[in-house]
Order: sequence, then structure tokens, then C-alpha cells
Amino acid sequence: MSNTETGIGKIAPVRAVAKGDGGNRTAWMGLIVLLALVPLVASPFHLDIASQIFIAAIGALALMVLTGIAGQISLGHGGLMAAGAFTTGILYKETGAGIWITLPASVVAGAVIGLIFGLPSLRLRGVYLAMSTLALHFVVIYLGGEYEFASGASTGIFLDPPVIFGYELYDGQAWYYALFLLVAGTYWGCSNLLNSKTGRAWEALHANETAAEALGVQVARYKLLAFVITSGIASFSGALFAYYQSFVSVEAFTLFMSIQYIAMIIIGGMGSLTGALLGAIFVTLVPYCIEWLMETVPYLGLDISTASSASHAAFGLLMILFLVFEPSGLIGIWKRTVARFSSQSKKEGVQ
Amino acid sequence: MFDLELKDIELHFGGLVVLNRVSLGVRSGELLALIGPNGAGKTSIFNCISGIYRPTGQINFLGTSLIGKKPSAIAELGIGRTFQHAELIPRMNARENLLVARHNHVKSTLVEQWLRLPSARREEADHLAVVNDVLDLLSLSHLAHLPVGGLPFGIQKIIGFGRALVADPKILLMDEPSAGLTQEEREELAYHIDSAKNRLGIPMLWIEHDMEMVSAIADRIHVLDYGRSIGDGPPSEVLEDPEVIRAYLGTTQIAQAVDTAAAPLEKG
Repeated sequence: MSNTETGIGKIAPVRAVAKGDGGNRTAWMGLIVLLALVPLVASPFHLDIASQIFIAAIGALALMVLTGIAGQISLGHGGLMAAGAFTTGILYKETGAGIWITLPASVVAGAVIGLIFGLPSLRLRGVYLAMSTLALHFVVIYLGGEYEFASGASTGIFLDPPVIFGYELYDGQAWYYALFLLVAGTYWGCSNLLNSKTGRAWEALHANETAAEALGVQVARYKLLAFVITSGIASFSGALFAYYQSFVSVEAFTLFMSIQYIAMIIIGGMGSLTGALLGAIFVTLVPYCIEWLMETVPYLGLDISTASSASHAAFGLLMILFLVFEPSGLIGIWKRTVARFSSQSKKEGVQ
Repeated sequence: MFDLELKDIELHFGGLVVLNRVSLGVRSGELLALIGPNGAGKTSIFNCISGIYRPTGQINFLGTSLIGKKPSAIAELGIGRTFQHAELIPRMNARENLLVARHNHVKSTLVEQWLRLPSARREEADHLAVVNDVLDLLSLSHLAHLPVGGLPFGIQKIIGFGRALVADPKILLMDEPSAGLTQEEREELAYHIDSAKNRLGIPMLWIEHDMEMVSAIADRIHVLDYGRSIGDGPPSEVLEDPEVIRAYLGTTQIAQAVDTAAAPLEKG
């Protein structure tokens, strides 16, 4: 009972849904144990890279939900992270507020900004929506700059290490574990949402707004909800970034940062939370790999002054390569590899 | 007396008259086939009922006016529909696609969903049970785990039919459910439509080009031509009506369909 002929042109490309449904629980547990042991052997330099990856991962998970699941393109991700960082920085500088106040305040600030900048999504789509979210970036950076100027903190705002239950979060190991837990929690929360009414409504409006509406999904409400939730998370990761760097300045939040996050979800694999994690790892490591290349291959013609533009160029190239040759991203490669090995082992088992 | 009633529906796109004073009604437990040549305005009627188009006139469903309501609010009243091109979510599997249609029945709050609290988990299991029942009913269980984007179009259409059923609709609108299906799949679909009608006892409005199927299982036929109603009545009468024959298919096809309809439809 199949008729592939009539389906031609109507069959969409198969994109497997990978939402971390805990299908392979033992592998996940093993990975978590392994990651928990890393600080015991890693150098401070490697722990620093890991922490950067964790912060990026939280932001990438948020963008994956917004763009990869709900289908709303945003170029305002760097702006949202700046909003979180500045909310935390300003609250700390002005009132001396602790992390239990600054972090929730950053989430709320991000959510409110997300609501406002989500409104154009009710009218705009695709590139037009992306352009309107770009405004978000510049508004936040402008406001941040104005604050820096007005408060005389023209070089930025300094933050002391946050204190959690009387313990000062200062050294690399402590940061590693704290951020690790937060990434795990964000992943778990996002995964729960995707496997619920809300996530399915996002998928539905992503696929076809008219059909989703006819199924009873209040498209406008769920679009705004996607903006609110993911902007809250992005702002949260910006606040963590501020604490981790002990410093907030508009210079850190460039438009390139927003593009890096888009690179993470494309390279990781659209529509997959695990892909967002892989993308965050990959994109965070690229500049380090370029630097390493410069050191190990002396005649490559690269030096310190060209390192930054070299990594920018590498991004552009990688994005194009992934879009053309591997649209399903790292998660697609991973799945194919797993499938190949499992089918091979099956064959061997038969023989 | 009608569960769903349309009165003097008019719809214009610019200067083009799409629907010209169309009136029709469906009773509970009745399967009303909506037929007419391409461009007659059949799908437009569905889009008016669903709230996607904004016509003038009256549309009442179980005592509630649907005019001016948002599509999602209309769906919430229990108006389920299928689409000509299935319109499934390609990267989700059949089970997830059907779960989407349980949207209005899910009661758990955002926080319950986010933290996957026991209440949310229990509810999810209940909805999954409803979905699995419908998948069983339509003999789709063995395909339920595959992304629907890779399935043959005919199967996608049946999943689309299942998606409309799983929402517990109070009325079902089906837009050319048999288009793109093989003969075997059509027979199976006719069986599913007929048995759903008998089991649920709800009104059904059915756009169809396959006259053989229509004359076999429809209770009544409403004929549209260029946005006007040109006939309404039992299949035997309507398909003999000279105006319908002239406007629509051409003599031979109708005659054939009526002949075949005389023999009972073989049910797969």
C-alpha cells in the first residue's frame, strides 16, 4: 500500500527529530560521569575553554529552540546576552545585589525585551524578521554604552565573583561544575518543553502557520512565548558570561557574536538540542584551533595580527561548507556514523 | 436542525467572486459530499468555516456564530479538518503529528510541562493512549515512529485524516482526502470515513472528486459551480440532474459512477 509516484514533489526532505528524548540513557550517564571527572585532570587553560563552551551552550540551546524548533530567525542574540550582562552589571554596581537577585532580574529583563522584539514576528518572516531583530542588538548596545558613559564607567563595569551559599565562585573548577549543572538543567528544561504541548505547537507553526492555527494552535501566542522563553535564557547566559569574565562592556557583544550563535545552530544541526551543544563546542574551539595552527605551522603566513580575521574567515568558510554539504550539521554526521557502525556490527553478528 | 449551517456566504478576492450566496447545512451523523469542478470554491468554503477567509453571511455551528472568530478559536469549538496536501509536520513522526492535534485537550501548565511534573507526565500518557488508539484504528501503528516527510503521499493523507480524528472533533471537514491515493488506499479510506461516521455520529463535510466513492458512501451531495450552489440532494438524484451533469463531469463519467455504485463497495 504505497504509491511513491503520487508523492513526488510533496515529500519533504527527511529530517530526523533529535530532541534528546533519553533514548540512550546509559550513553548519556556515561558522558555526564566523564564530564564530571574532567576538572580532576584538566589544566586551568582547558577548564577556561570548557567554561566558555558551557556559557555558549546555554545561549545556543535558546537560539536552537527559537530558530531551529519554532522557526523564528533572530540576529538579536548577542544583544540579548548584552542585556543580561548589563542588567547584572548595573544591578551589582548600583545596589551591590547578589547573584540570587541579579540572575532572575536578568532573565526577566531578557524575557521582556524578547516580548517586545518578538512582536514584529507576528507580521514578518525570514530575512525581514532577522532585520527587525537586528534592531534589538543595536538598541541594547546603545543603552549599555549610554550607561557606561553616564556612570563614568567608560571602560566597563567590574564584577566581583558571585557568592553562592557563602562560597565564592572564583576558581576554574568551581566555575566548571556550576556551569556544567546549568547547561544540564537548561538542556533538560528545553527538552521537556519540546516533548510537550508547547514544543509541538512550535514545531507546528514552524512547518505551516495556517495549518497550525486550524489545528487549534494560537500561533501568535506561541510565537511570542518562544521569544519570551528563549530571550530569558539567552539573557541568563549573558549574565553568567558577565560574572565569568568579572567584567561587562559593550565591546564584548558584537554583531559577530550573534552570527557565531547562528553558526552554532547551523553547524550543530537545525532542530536538535544535542546539535546546539555540538555547535557550541565546535564554534568555541575554532579560534583556538586557528591559533594552534599558527603556532604549529610556522610558514602558514599567520601571525597574531591576522589571527582574528583568520578565524572570521574560517567561520564564513565553515558555514558555507556546512550549508552546502551537511545541512543536517554535526548531529547528522553523528547519526549517520552511529547508523553505519550499528548496521556493520549487525552484519558481522549474522556472519 | 443543522449542526453546521452556512447562509448566504459571499466571498470576493478583489473583483473576483469566489463564493456567491452559498447556503448549505450538515446534520449530525450525516456525510455531506461537496463536489464541483476545480475552482468552484469548495476549499474556499472550508477556509471560510475555519476562519482563514473572512466572508460575509452567516456561519453557525451548534448555535455559535463562527464569523469573525480566529481559526484557533474555531478549532477549539471542535471543528476538525484535513488538508488537500496533508500539511503534516515533515520531521515529526506520525505519533507526534497526531499528538499536535491534542493541543486543545492538554490541560497542564507551562511550568508543569517545563519541569515534567508527574501531573504533566500522566496527562501526556493519556493523550498518547488516544493517539495510539487512532493509529491502531487506521492500521498505521507500524509506521508511527518514522518521520512523516519520508512516507508516501497516500500514507501522509491517511495520517492527516487520523490527525483530524484524534482531536475528538464535533464536526469533520475533509478536503479531497482521496487525491493522490491508489485505488487500494481509496477503498481503505472510504471504509475509514464510513466507519468513523457511524462510530462518532458527527456531521462530516467532504470535498471529493472521486464520484465512485461519493455515490457509495455519501448521504447527500452539494454541488458548486463557479461559486454558486447548483444542486443539493441524495446522490442518486443529484448525479442524474442534467444541470449538474452539464456543469460538471461530462455524461459518461457520471453514468459509470452511478453504475458502479449500484454494486456494494468492497471494503479493505
